[in-house]
Amino acid sequence: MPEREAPAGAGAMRLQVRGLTVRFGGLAALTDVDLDVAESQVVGLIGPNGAGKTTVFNAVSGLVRTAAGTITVAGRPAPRAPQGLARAGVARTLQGLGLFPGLSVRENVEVGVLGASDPAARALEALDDLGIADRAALPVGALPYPEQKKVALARALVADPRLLLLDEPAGGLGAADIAELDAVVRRVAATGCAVLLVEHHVDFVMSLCDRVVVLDFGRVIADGTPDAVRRDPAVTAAYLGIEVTAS
Amino acid sequence: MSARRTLLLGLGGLILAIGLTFLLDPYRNYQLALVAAYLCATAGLTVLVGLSGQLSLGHAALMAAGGYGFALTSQALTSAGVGGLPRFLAATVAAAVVAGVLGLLLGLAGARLHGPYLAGLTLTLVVAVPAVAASVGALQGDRGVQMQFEGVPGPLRALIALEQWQAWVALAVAAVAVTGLALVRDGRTGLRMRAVRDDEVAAALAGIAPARVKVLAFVVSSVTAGLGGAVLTFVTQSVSPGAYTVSLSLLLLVAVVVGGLGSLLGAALGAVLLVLLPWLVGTVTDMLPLPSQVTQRIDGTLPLLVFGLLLIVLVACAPGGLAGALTAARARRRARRRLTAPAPTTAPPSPTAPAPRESARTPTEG
Ligand SMILES: Nc1ncnc2c1ncn2[C@@H]1O[C@H](COP(=O)(O)OP(=O)(O)OP(=O)(O)O)[C@@H](O)[C@H]1O
Ligand SMILES: [Mg+2]
Repeated sequence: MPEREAPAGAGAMRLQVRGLTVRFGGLAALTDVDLDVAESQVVGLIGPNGAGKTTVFNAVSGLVRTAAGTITVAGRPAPRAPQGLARAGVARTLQGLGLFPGLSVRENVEVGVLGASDPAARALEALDDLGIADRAALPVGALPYPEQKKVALARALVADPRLLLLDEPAGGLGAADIAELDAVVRRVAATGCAVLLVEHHVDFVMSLCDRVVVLDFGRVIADGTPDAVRRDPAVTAAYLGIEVTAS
Repeated sequence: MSARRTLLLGLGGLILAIGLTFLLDPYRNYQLALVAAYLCATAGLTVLVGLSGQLSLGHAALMAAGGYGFALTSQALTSAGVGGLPRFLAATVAAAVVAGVLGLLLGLAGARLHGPYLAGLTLTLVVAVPAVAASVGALQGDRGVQMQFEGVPGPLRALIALEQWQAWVALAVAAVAVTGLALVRDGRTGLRMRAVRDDEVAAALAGIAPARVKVLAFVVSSVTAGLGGAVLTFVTQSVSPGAYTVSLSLLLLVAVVVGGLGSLLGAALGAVLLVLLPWLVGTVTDMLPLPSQVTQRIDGTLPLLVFGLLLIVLVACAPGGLAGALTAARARRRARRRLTAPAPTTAPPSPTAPAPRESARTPTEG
């Protein structure tokens, strides 16, 4: 697939979505969505509740059937089934936590890298990177919520993905934890990983992201730098006007 | 647990259990052999239900498949002039294969079904298998397949009774089955199973193929159930449809829950209960001054009732089953010891209200 419309100055394209349309029965959850994420880039995907943000992730992950459009990961068609995702170098967190409650902290992370040679050591390393290696042996449910969020993040990061999809990583976190998350995402992007992140926390998105894509009723209504998006009247009308005052 | 430790533990356990057979009379050794046979099935079932989160009401049918596989292979080999250890090993492998294939089919169907539908499918199987076995000529109907007598091998004949020898064989097979399951549980496959059990979507996103893992769990569990059927056939020297009914399936499941879901120790405790409970109940009712007719009727149903009550009490008081209760008790004892450990200069802390300062200091002192 030719890489048209690649943003100027960006490196290799890690995720390219063209004309993506997803329907649930009569509901058009996504209509003709275009989206690009290049290596080292952090792209924010925002929009009101039910706009279709998670559905974009689900389509990329092979969890929902697409009615039309193409999804390309690192120049190849996205895997059809979710279990092919990890092999394609993609990691994703789920909205909420998506942890395995019956597993220890370390095991939760180990699951993300079971194909590698020493998953336990890799898991400890990933936990250490986020400063919670001392929690490794605990049942994951024993951790406070912010640390559980870190476990979910560690599972996504443990396999050194080249495309990282984060669904509301700051959800439920306080200011200090968000600052820490901000640093982690920047660090990951600096290694060349492409990051696409869905978030309701507007200030966090605007300060962290290189580009922001705004969805409303399943359509892209804006795509540009944080500043350009913030000034876009369509965005203010659909989303920011409400959310900025709320957050 | 490291794989080497598991292997050593399995071997050590087997040696201990074989040592135990020297302390038991022949009837107790026969019971021990039955425990070993049921252990193969309960251990496989606890891995299936506890680790992979799939329910099977069909494990009696899988045992039956193993039993018939064992008996028919053994007969065929006998008429081909094969005997002794090669015949036993080949028949045991055949039992595992027959049950494993049946389990594969169940697992493939089960990967598309969920919860009650899978349970229904396995229930259908457990009703169908004895009925089919009873009507197929080659399986000799209700009477079942009789094995020809297999005694203690030559050099041991002067030393041990038949029951003790059977217990040895049964224990050896059970040790292989349980050790294998422990290795699966502690390895990557076990982790995959537990991940799929907890959250299929999250597991798939991490690169695990949930359907494949679930089918594999069914196959593994079925193979060990088949081994259990083989052992039971070896010990009782026959296999018949009447031995593998729905109620055996239910009892296996109850044994696994009572023992503690997902725990191999619990599976062993459950297997012991399966064998001992009917015997205990029989002993008690024999002591009561009741007409024999009543006793007989009670003997048939009371073990089930006691088992059911035990299940209810445990689920209410100790959701981790017997194994979970044991682990919790051990942890409590360790915690108490840590509290009473401090040097005699400090006043002994009251066990009801331990001072946090003291418990925090203990690790540096001890
Ligand atoms: N599997 C599904 N079946 C039917 N409808 C669905 C399904 N998944 C999502 N939807 C619908 O599609 C629309 C978009 O949902 P989606 O979860 O993508 O929104 P979102 O932007 O992630 O919202 P939120 O901010 O609340 O997470 C919603 O109307 C939702 O109800
Ligand atoms: Mg969402």
